[in-house]
Amino acid sequence: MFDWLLGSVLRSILIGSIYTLMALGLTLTLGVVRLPNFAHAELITIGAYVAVLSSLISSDISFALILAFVITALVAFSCHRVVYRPLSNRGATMYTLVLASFALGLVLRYIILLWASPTGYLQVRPLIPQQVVGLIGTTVILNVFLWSLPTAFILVLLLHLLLSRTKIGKMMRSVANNITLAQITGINVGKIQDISWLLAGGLAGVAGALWAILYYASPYVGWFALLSVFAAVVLGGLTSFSGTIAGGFIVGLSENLVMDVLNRSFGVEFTYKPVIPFAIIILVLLVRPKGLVGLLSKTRIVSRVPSRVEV
Amino acid sequence: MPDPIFSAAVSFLSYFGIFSILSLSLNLEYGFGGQPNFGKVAFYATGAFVAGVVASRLMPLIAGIAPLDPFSPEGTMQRVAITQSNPYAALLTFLIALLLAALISGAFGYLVSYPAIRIREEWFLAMVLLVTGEILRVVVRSYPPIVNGYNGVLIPNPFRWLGDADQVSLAYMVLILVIALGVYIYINKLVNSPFGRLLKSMRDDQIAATSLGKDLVKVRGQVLILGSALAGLAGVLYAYYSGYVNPDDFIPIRTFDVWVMVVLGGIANNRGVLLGAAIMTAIDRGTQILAIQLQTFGGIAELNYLRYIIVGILMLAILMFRQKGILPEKPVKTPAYEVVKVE
Amino acid sequence: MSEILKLEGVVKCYESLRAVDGVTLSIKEGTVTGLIGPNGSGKSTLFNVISGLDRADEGKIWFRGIRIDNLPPHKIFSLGLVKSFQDPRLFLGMTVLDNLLVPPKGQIGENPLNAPIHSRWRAQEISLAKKSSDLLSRLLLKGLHKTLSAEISGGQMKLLEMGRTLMADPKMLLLDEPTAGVAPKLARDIFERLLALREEFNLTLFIIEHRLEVLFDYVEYVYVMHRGKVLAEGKPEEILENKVVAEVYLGG
Repeated sequence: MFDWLLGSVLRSILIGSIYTLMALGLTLTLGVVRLPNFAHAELITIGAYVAVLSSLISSDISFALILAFVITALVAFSCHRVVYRPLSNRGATMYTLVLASFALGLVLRYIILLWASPTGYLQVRPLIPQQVVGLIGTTVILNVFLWSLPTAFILVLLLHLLLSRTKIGKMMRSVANNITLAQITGINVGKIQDISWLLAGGLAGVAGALWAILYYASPYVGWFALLSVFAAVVLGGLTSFSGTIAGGFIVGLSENLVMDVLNRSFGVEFTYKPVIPFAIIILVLLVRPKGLVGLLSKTRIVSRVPSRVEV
Repeated sequence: MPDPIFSAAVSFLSYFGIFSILSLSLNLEYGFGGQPNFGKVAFYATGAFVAGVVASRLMPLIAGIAPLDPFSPEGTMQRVAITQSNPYAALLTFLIALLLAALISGAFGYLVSYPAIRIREEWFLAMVLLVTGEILRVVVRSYPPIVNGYNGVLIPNPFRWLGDADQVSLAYMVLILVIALGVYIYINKLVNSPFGRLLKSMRDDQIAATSLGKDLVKVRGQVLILGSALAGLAGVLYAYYSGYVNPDDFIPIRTFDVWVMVVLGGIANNRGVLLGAAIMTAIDRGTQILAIQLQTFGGIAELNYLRYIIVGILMLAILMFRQKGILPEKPVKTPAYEVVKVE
Repeated sequence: MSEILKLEGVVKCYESLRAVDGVTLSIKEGTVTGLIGPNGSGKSTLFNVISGLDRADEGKIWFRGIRIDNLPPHKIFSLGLVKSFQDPRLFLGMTVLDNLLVPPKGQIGENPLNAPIHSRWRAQEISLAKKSSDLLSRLLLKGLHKTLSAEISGGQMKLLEMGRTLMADPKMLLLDEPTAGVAPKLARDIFERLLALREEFNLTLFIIEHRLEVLFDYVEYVYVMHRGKVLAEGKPEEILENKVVAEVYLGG
């Protein structure tokens, strides 16, 4: 009778772990470069298509994931060098950067559409065979499930180690905390920003690839995921590491388990599902603009939190 | 056989009028007042939904006919019949839709901005407004009683009683342009005044403006009410122009289009913004017409996508190479300059 | 002379730092009072708290007998208490003249319902313009009215900032380092002008200043702040002889 529940929980965790990867990348650019990067969506989409295309060469999942990381990292890096950095150097405001990221995302998305539409790649799965490796109750466990969770887990762990244990991680944190101070103490801010973009892009790419392997790739996957990812980031307190992880899983749970419960118990239709992340964003903003920060441990990328205006 | 040049011109000018109102309203909010309304589409959509509800529910009552199910084919036929035979009911309904849309969109603008204008983190307001637009769209497309969910609702042109299709679209185009001109004159008068100065002072330095006695929470509310009400008008005009209210028309890219017009033409320059609207209309209509033409010859459906790529690149180019837009900002024009010049 | 401004036990904390730590002071109407102290002693924070830009955590503030510690900045402004900024915060996208025309109170045309009907506010606008024109020539800014305020020199920015506060018909000005970054000769010039304006407009002045040698020639009373507290107060000559004050300044 409760078989749906198990499937729902499983889906929540899978999607939650992918959201977490996407959200951590967004958090990095938000913290280190101070940009709410709307083109993050298209980095995810590119990762998804890299997985599809790499499967034409090899059906090895790890190959797809590594390739997705490398290519998307390079795309993110080029976006930074070609668009964002020149704009920042000219003293662009936050709004200008947001507009630029939206424009860049739009250009990338429609270039992908322009390619995918005539070639029949509008909604495709990678050629990676899905095998049933087990059953829990009546819930089927596929081999690809076993990939996504460990991959997400390992990447989060590596990122955590990088930020907390290495010199580069420490420099990233000081740039995020106070960019002027970081410059004075001799940190090469440009290099740290480059590294952050590579990491943010790579994480988005892997997340997109995992999404494609589990579900499918389409020119809109990133855009559809983006607002959920923003919800996770806002819920996590914008720039907190552990907060973002919790945020990713909470959004994953709300969109799947909570949605399933609402549907079964109250007859709420699935078309309302996209409202959930929006509701989370608005609710966090109204009730607790700091997000989960302060409720969890204190590993932070940056100490900046939104505060109320005193005017 | 309609003349293709005539219908292209009518369509261009109609869209230009609607885009002008939208971009002038964003210019009021962002160009003059510095408020980043990234949810413009929410208020534009509100106007269209109001038009859909008013036309489908109220018009039969105004015409004195028992209303049929508004979303059934019979209901649609009933509306068409009324607009064909009863100019009074058709135009009065349209007028009511305009007034109600301005009121409801304005109130909605105030409501949405109410919590957000108190948050310091700049992009939070942008985020909230963006999210609001998407919530509205998803709820309206999922909840049929408003405008029949994602199926939308047909609303006939208020000039349908003129009979000839060309005359109908021409009359409606003139109406759009008259309203757009009215909005242009109104906004120009509005900003070339102490209120315009107040807006610019808020945009340039919030802390200084506050310490010089300006109640910015009130001013933000005022400017978002005005901007949203005007966007609501544009929404009604668009709904009647396309003859069909469809929630899925109001995706976040619509907001972005309006931003392109403002940033491209010239922030805080109303004439520049009209120029931006004209350029945007040309790209929008141009690619549309070209796509249709090519498709009839078995051509490329993907031309539509090219439109977004062009618009995106245009935005990036203007942000990177000419941040002030094509026409730069001008001082607030009041009699003060004549006085100081004389002395 | 009656008391115009009174503070009682005002405290302002930033996280664990008590930037203003129990300040009590009182200023008489029509006087010129100095506020001095080493960097980080809490002077600017105190001004922000008085003008309402920052809210006091504890304590009470009265201006002309009215409690103002709970009022928002624009209400405090409308009572006639106006603050200038240490670094001029001009409206950089606006002209010099427009900068002067922002502060006046009760502008009819600031209401969006009146704004489009120019006849409603034309007369008021013209009288404000005459006032600004007069001020422009007195602040040596004549002929610059159409220039963007971002394009004038640093000294002119200082003067414009001062002019902006005067356009509001203030009863009392809080001036945060009016001569910072200005040549010593011009500093005296600015003080001379301020005193002349005080006579004319019947102003009360409360001034933060680092140039003690200049300040002490013009003020009637001085408060010295150190680590958020009032360390000493008195006439300039008393402060000059105060050993504790000398120690704070020389020692750190």
